Amino acid sequence: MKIKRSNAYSMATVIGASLLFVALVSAAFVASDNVLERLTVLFVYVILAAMWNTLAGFGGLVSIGQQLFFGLGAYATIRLADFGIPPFVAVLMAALLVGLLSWPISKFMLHLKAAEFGIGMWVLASVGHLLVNLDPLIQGETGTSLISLNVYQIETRRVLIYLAALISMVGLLIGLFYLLRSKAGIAMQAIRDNEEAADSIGVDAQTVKKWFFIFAAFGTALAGALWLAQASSFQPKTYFSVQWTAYMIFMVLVGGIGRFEGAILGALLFFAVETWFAATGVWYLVGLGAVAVLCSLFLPKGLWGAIESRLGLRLIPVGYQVTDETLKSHKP
Amino acid sequence: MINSLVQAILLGGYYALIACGLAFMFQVMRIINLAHGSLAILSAYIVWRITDALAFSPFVSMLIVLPIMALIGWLLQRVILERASKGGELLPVLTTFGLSIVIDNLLFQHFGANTRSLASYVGDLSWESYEVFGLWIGKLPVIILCTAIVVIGGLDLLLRFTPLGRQIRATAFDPETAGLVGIDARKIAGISAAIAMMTVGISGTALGLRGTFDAYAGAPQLLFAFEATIIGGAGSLWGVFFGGIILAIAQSVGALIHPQGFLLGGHFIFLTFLFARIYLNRDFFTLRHWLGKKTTKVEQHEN
Amino acid sequence: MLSAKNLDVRYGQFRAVRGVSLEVKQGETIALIGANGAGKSTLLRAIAGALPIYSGELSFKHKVITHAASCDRVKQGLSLVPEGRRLFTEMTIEENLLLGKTINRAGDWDLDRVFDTFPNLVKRRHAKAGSLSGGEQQATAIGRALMSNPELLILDEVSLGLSPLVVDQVYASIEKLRDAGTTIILVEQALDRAIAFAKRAVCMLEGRIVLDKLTADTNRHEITEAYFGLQQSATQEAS
Ligand SMILES: Nc1ncnc2c1ncn2[C@@H]1O[C@H](COP(=O)(O)OP(=O)(O)OP(=O)(O)O)[C@@H](O)[C@H]1O
Ligand SMILES: [Mg+2]
Repeated sequence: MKIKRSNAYSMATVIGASLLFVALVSAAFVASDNVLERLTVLFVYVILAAMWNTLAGFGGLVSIGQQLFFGLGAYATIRLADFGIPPFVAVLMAALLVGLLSWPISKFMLHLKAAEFGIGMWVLASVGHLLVNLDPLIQGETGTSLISLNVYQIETRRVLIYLAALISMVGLLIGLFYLLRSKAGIAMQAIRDNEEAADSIGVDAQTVKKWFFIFAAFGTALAGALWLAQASSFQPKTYFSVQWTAYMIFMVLVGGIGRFEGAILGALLFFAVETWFAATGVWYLVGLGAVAVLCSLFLPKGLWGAIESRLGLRLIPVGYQVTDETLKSHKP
Repeated sequence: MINSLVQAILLGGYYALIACGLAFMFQVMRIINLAHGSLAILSAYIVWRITDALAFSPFVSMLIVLPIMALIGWLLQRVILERASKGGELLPVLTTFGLSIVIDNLLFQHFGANTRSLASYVGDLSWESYEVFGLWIGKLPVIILCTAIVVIGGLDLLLRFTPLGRQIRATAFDPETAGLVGIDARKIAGISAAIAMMTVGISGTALGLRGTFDAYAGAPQLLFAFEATIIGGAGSLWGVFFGGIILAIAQSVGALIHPQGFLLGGHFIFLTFLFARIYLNRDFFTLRHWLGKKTTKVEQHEN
Repeated sequence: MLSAKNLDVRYGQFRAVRGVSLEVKQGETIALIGANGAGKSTLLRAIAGALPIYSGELSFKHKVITHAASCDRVKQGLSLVPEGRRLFTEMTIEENLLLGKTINRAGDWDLDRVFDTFPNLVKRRHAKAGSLSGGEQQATAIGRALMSNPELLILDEVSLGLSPLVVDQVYASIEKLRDAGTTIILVEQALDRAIAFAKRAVCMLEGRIVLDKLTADTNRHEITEAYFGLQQSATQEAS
């Protein structure tokens, strides 16, 4: 929708996005239950895609273990709620805590390169999963539920979760936007292309990567906590499944890796594909994997990249055009 | 206690077997193949299919599967990896991960959710044991351990003493110069991938013989292989062999400490080695450091 | 034998070689001269196939090889001794030499003949190439290239970092090759040596060929002028 209404001018994008936001907020009070629930799912997907894109597309860090933060976000929410913290506060606190935890993890993991980092994160996700299983509150793979949400009427709960997801998504996207527009963010896209060039601009690649990592961990944890709120039940196996990362990768690769709009487009596509094809069961997953492989080999900039170069369309200027030029002028 | 240690070493033989293909490919092509575990499961299914349909021994079926796996490896290199590795070091990670999803789900689609095993096709062998000093040592695990030694030893000899091995080492060390002396890097990469996939075929069979597998069992195999490789120092195949054994011992220790500690024990030792590699002298905790010149190194750039 | 037409070679956006055309005849010896960064190595590496040619055409023995893989060029008889030797340092001398034989072209170069030509390598035959002295390394690199029995041998700064005595030895051996009729292109910073060795001098400046004459028809002065072009700042570097 956003794409159709807007044009190449970013001012128009801002107006369009604001209108869309208002429309989505008002939808909370008029849309049917089913629509609200589906939209909540969509918002979580957008968050997941945007966060993985932050990491891989802008930070050059391909993690196969983002389910670690997704699962921990959900788990921490359960834990905090068990301490008597109101559920929606617990959701936010959980995400913050996981963000905090990701700091020491980043210190350690960012020493690894490429595939080592990717699988290393996967191992960490497995560690997180196994450790969470040890918590008696969770009852192993049986899992538990976010009972404290029951204080709200089912309708109220639905609307609240919807609004929480909407606000989280918008907040994270705006946060990402400013992160990318900051000096560090612009440099990050330089790092992605050429680490030495980034050094010559005077940016410490490692530090910036760390911030991207932490931001992505926070956002992914928030997504996990929101998912928990919506689903209300927590089984470690589901939340710590590598499938989540597979979805993120699909969304970002198809939408356009390293493109702000790409992740959003990818999430919309994934949402549509899921809605229509999830009934085909496993074939749908085969298709996702195959499309991801094909996209990364033959359409490295994703659909958005193709649209961009075809139409010269750029809705959200996060500054990578500028970066390219900066880079060139810095080359010997 | 001694018994669990012996069992762990035997299990380590399997880990070494599954890891050596991953490490080989990493050393030669600088690619970690995330579809490694899924391909092992694929080969296990093919072996099972042939065994079941033609009433062969799984060992015979494996011999049939090896050329199939070699072909798969060659295709993997030509169709996916070659293209992917031109796009930087991240693309191979994404494409092989995508491939693993495709393979896993295709297997699930085709073979369903039931677990399979090859154990029932080898009759007594699946439970026969040697008695040594009062310990019962399963024949099959011993065969697997020996296979690991033979495979790794074979790869080692191949790399060290044959013209092909020399060319593989040269390509791994400096692909550009390898081209300048007349080595066809594409051919070498294709052959290396084929060799790696043959070891995957062997380890898939070993997995099926040891126990059960299902369509989604690839991911843990990949993690085991990866952990063994990192523990072993990634630079040497014999290192990977000991890496597999250390991994298995750590898992058994974990299981002794806590009923759910098996996997955690393995992850813990992996993280310890990783930590050591990062924060201590790079080589200090790797077997390469301790075994020094006794192990073969595939020469590589360290920059 | 080798014909380059309008070659362009780039590193990203940067044109390191610009519209270079060059004809090399059978049996010729060419000294490629130029200041640091003139693009000599880039040109030679592109000719050998280690760098992609951006535009232009390259043919060798009347076959177009513009986009051929480097191993195919070796197969045709074109061999480069790269700048900085680029040995496989963790392999022995013998292994390095044997790698040169990957393409088994007909000819009389084999291990024995290389060891005859570079007798100093014999006793270090099984030593790791990384542990050799500079001269031994250079001999190994040349030997490795010779093992493929090349018809065109390209030598990039073979005397770099060697003591004068060792340079003499290295030159003595490539003079033997020259006299045996091998076509040779060589990059040499020492101008006098280059002029003495080669029949033809080609001078590059900023990616272009600015002088191409028989050494008999030119002199040190003319080459030096071409070498510096208009760039006065390069004066100190060159001495
Ligand atoms: N890998 C590379 N990436 C980018 N630029 C390069 C690269 N290699 C060389 N250059 C640039 O290309 C130009 C030509 O370099 P080249 O090595 O061909 O010069 P050369 O004539 O061989 O110099 P020298 O005498 O120092 O060996 C130089 O400006 C150099 O900075
Ligand atoms: Mg040079």
